[in-house]
Amino acid sequence: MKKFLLKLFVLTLISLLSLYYINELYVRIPNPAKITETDKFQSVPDSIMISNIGSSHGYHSFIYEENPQCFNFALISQSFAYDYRILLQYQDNLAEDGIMFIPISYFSLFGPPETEQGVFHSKNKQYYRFLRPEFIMEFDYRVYIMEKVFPVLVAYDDFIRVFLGYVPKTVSPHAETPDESFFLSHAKERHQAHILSNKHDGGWIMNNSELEAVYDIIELCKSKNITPILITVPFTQAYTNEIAINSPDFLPEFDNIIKEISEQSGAEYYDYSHDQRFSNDYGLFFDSDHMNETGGLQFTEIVVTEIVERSTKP
Amino acid sequence: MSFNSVIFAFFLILVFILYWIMPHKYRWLLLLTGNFCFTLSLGTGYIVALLTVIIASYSTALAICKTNERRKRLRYLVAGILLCLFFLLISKYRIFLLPAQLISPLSYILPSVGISFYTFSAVGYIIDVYKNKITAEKHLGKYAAFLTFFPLILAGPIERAGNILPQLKAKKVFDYSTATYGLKQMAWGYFKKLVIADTVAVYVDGIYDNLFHYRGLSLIMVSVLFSIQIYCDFSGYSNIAAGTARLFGFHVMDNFKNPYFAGSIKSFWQKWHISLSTWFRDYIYIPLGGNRSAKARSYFNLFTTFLISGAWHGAGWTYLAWGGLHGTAQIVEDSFCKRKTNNLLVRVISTVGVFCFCTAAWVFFRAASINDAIYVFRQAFAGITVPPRWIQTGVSDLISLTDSLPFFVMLALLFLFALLEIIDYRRNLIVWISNKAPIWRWAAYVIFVLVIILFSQKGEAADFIYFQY
Repeated sequence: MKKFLLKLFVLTLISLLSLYYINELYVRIPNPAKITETDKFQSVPDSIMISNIGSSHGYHSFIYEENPQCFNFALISQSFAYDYRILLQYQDNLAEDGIMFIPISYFSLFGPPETEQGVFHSKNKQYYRFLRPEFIMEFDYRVYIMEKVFPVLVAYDDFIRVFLGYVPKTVSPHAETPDESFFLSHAKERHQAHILSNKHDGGWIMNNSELEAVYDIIELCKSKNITPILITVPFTQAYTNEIAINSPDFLPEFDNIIKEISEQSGAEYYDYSHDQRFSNDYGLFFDSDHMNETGGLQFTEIVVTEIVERSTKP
Repeated sequence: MSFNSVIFAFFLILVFILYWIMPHKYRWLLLLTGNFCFTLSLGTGYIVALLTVIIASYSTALAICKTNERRKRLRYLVAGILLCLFFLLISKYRIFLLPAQLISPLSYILPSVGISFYTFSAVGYIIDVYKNKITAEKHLGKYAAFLTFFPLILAGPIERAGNILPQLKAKKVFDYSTATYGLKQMAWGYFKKLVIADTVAVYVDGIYDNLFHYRGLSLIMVSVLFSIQIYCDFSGYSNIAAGTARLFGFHVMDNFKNPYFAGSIKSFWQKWHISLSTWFRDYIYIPLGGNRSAKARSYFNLFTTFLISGAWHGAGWTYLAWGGLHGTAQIVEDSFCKRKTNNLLVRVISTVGVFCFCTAAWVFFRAASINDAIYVFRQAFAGITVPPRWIQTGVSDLISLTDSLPFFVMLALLFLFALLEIIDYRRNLIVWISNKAPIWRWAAYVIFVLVIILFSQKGEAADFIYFQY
């Protein structure tokens, strides 16, 4: 048995050393295949004056270009709970007297708690790449080893891309503008996913943990002397009409909740969802509720001019 | 705790070391403890069904042994079988047998994994005792250790008490070659499951979950891929189970013998899920009369056995259709294809034919409903009148599920698998590798381990398909 265990140990050791070597190679070889949305967190600037958090709406709507005083903390499908955790980790990078945009979307405060959602575990993995363990929900050492220590373990086809020097073709969602029928059918899908799926017994299921996280974010901003701004980003007319016509009681309900948050926390709220400078121009969107690069740049400029300048006036 | 989880690796190492350093007379106790820990990790409620089956089969077998009165023995036999089958029937056919309001509360104690396998072992044991093939086991602990043996409890192989109990009692010394063979068997199983089955599953699930969005060649391609997936998934599991058992010095029956190289449907069933096929042969087909009666009657027996086999897989018409198809095919084959030939071309054609038939039958097995299966057959050849476009659309449908690179990686992995499978069919892969010079052998082991680690689907532990049966 000793011989068996010894040989097993030697095999394990050789395999681990080989794996370590392959992992090192994988990490060191630069390749666009490895670029992920979370890479930006490797170089969060200091003294950030203007920043935003949020999910895909925040991710696509705020484009600061190369301005080192601005940073977009948003990630696709990100919850407020994770926005708060990210801000806790990077709070020292935020400058005092700065501004934090908190995008509130129609789906943000409704639905089941994040950890009960089907996609939670696959979504949660991305945070292992840049958040410290104490900020990760349901932290699991196995995932930590795979995502952080040995990323080659979860690289799969990226592993081949990197070693073959293969550069994937990236199709930007901003590349071309779809026709109006696409926006109409997409708006119907989103209405189902964002609004109707959270409806139960004639009302909408509130996500209290997300609501609490919004208050926590506002509190954190205030404690750092940062101005929190609640904001709803522009949507296409197709999207807002779809919701207004087919769920007429939703928007008043949403407005009441935002009003209450704004009143209780003292954070200002700006609603750009129906702003005609954007909503009528489908050329600024890549789907019914997400702006493309042109839209994002235009919106960021307007927001900075209209809100930031107003908020920073003594 | 599944075989493809990290916690299983730690559990296995611990039980393995303790087993071999423990004196022989306590090993059954260690195994029993390990078995129950393993079962409890699946769900504490599952223990109710397991204990019921253990106690029912143990006590009825003892009762059968204690009397020579034929009627009493038969009564005990029937009672034992019914008691054992109770939880199996309830858990498999709960939608038909239980009122809707009871399904949810009872689901805690109704096992969703493994019950078919240990129940069939227990039923086989009672019947063997009844037929005086074996004597009833008096030691409850050792009997329970056999029935709950953790490498086999999840999805078999459905072992016979006559094979495992003597091995459990025999004084064993650690055998280096048996243990290393077991490890290699496990590695081959993990490769089939984690690298092949789980990779192919991405395409199979992608198409079958949105079936009505696809037509043409893609439907044929995923049906072929599903044939590979289910084989690699289940035979991979069986390899891991048999390899794990070997680490403890147990030799369990082979569950698969390269079935897709079979030249006839009959031969396919002698190579596919052997422990279940022989179980049905010994405890259903032969008691029904087997092939000793008139032709019509023996065909009826064969067909009925396959229908029951289909029903065993689940409460759905698709499984019955799958079983019925195989039963019918065997009857047709027995009636019309009697001559055996050594002609290579004929053998190749018949092997390809059997694979095509099995793939078509698997469509019923995988489809969510009979209508879905019919859709696959109806639409698979849509657009074939323009072959280049038919092929291009089919391939791009599959590529669109991932990207071109992962698709070609999958093809490369399938090619590697096919090569290894051919070697395994001709020479036994494990023996073939073991006979190579140490440098090549060790290089092969390390590469194999790295391939398993690097090409497992994103580190996700996907369940084995046969756990649901």
